[in-house]
Amino acid sequence: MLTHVYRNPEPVPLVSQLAVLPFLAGVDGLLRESGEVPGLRITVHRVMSREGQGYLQQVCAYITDSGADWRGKVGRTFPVTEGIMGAAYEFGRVWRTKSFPTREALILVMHENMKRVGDTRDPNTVAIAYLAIPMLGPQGEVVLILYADCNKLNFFVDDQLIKHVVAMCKGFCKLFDWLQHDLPFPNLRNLPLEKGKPAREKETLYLSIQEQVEKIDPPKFKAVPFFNYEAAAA
Amino acid sequence: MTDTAAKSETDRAREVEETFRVLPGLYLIGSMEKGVTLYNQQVRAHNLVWALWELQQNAKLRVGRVAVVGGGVSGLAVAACIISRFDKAVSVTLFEERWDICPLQQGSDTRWIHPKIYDWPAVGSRGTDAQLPVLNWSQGRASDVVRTVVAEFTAFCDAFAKSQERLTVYLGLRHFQIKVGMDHKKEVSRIANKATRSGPFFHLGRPEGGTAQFDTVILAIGFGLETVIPGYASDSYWRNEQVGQPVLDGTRHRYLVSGFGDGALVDLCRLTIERFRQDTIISELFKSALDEVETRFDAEIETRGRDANMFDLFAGVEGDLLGAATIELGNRIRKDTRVTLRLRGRNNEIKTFSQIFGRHSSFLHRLLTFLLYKCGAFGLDFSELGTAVKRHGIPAANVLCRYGANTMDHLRALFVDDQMVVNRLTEMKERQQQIPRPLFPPGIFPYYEKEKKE
Repeated sequence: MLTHVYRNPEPVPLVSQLAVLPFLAGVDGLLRESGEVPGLRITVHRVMSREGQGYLQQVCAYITDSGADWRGKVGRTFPVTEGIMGAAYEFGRVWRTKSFPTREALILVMHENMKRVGDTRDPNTVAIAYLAIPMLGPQGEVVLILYADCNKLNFFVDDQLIKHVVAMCKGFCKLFDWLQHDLPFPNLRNLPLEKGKPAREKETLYLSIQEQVEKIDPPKFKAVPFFNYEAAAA
Repeated sequence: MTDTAAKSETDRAREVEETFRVLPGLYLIGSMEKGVTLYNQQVRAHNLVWALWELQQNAKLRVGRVAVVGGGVSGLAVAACIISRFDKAVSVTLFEERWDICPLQQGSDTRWIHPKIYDWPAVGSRGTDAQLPVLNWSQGRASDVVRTVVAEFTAFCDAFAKSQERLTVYLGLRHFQIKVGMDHKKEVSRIANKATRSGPFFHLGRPEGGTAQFDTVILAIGFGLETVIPGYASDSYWRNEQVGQPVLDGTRHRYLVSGFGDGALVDLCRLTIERFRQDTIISELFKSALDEVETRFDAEIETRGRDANMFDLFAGVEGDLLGAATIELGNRIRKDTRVTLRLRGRNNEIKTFSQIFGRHSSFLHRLLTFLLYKCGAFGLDFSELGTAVKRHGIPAANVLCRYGANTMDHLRALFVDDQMVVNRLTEMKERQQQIPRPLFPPGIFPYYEKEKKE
């Protein structure tokens, strides 16, 4: 168990950031296709390690309505038990926020959950819809997690929408499998990351409002066991 | 759970702090360690500052007023880590002997710096980005790397040390001494120019002499300048020269490289391998087999230990793992040079070629030297320097002596009473405890972009 969790960013190679941002911009476009989605933000976390401890690290900025929110965000590290991402990591499945009849009903339950996990924020100021899609490696290990949240009630409960996002993730995985194999850009390489034992903190999942999506399998890389694209000289 | 993880953060911080401690409140970064690379020194700087912060948080020590001795990359990293992590009650005074920060690498266009390649074949060692939270940089020419480091340092200063009192810089030291009292109070006397920062540059004030008390003194001097052998060229490793470029006059030039540390062996490679680039050579030699080579060598090192002599390992796999690379390298031996590698050791202890394959240099350079040996790319000499030079007819300008620095003497000269530190420095050299891996928790150091926004 970690004794302290710090939220300052650690560097992420610029190539890794750029490798996911256009994909997220595409996902953002899809999610906004049917109308405005208040507070929607999307990012990707990767699994990395430090001194034998495995963490989730935010790979790039949040894609938002106004562009990208990156200052102080890119490179933040989290224990693998962090919120809905932690659930996606632990179970290797897609997780999202359940359907609720009203915003008030959701906030009531979420507030109880927040108190349980020691989250002291005002529940009226936090997102009310969450999505975490793990992208698995060849051995079933989590490599990346697409994370999204917004303030639109029940935004992620539509299976069709989730299927579309997962399909995009599958395309993303397929592309990077090809890049890993064919090395078409000799100077841009996915260089190995050390593996670590998962760093765990107290779970912060709002368990009563989130659910595992049983019917939709997560996307999977065939040949990418880690995500660390760097500008190598060869 | 590992032992490391099982300990409290404060216990871990105390262990880390002890590895740097010369005396209470007096710390040394890396100088007595074997792996003194830019990256390693910067990692050590992060580790030390995290440990000091963690201990101060728990009232185990007081950092207070800090003197950082050395304005190279590790000195700047220590200063930037301190001003970003500690509150304003902690101030830094940085002392640099020369007239600019990072003076060794400024303008050095012939030396390549890679963050972790000397750790090869460890997992992640080919990563080109240092991935350090404070003063991050990517591989490149030494001049480019320090340009990035200085730009980052400037950004940290702009964010966390707007007032000159938070960070004071002295350049052009003409006198510098540390007096440590029996009560471990530390007094620094100096004659130097106080410098005022203007963006990434410094304006010199009038020279002044004076003394000041410090709660904490951190020595970040690297290992100093190399030993100069009278009569031979032997500029500092970081000075620009042309040995890596083809000879243009149509003749074949003779060179002698004396030494067997990384500095000597990289020059051996530059003088014997056509179009040699430190950053690309392993990819070029091993091509698609690189991952397999890396995995097998990494496993061997795990078994044998990194300090083991690797000659037998290389000899055992030369027909198998190294076969294609040897052929590839054989096609790339320089035609315009004739190189002798002189091996002898400080105490004449080197009698055979295989002896240099212990932990005198990085695994990468040991491997390249072995491959060059198999290709017959250089000759060997074990005699006195003068005898070797004469025997091979080497012009004095082509004798490259890479013996490292006399770090102990350099360090002792900083103290009024060096007897107070010499035993501990010797112990540090023997124990090699300053682990050059990030031991600080992720996210511990505030980043300047966040500060800007807030």
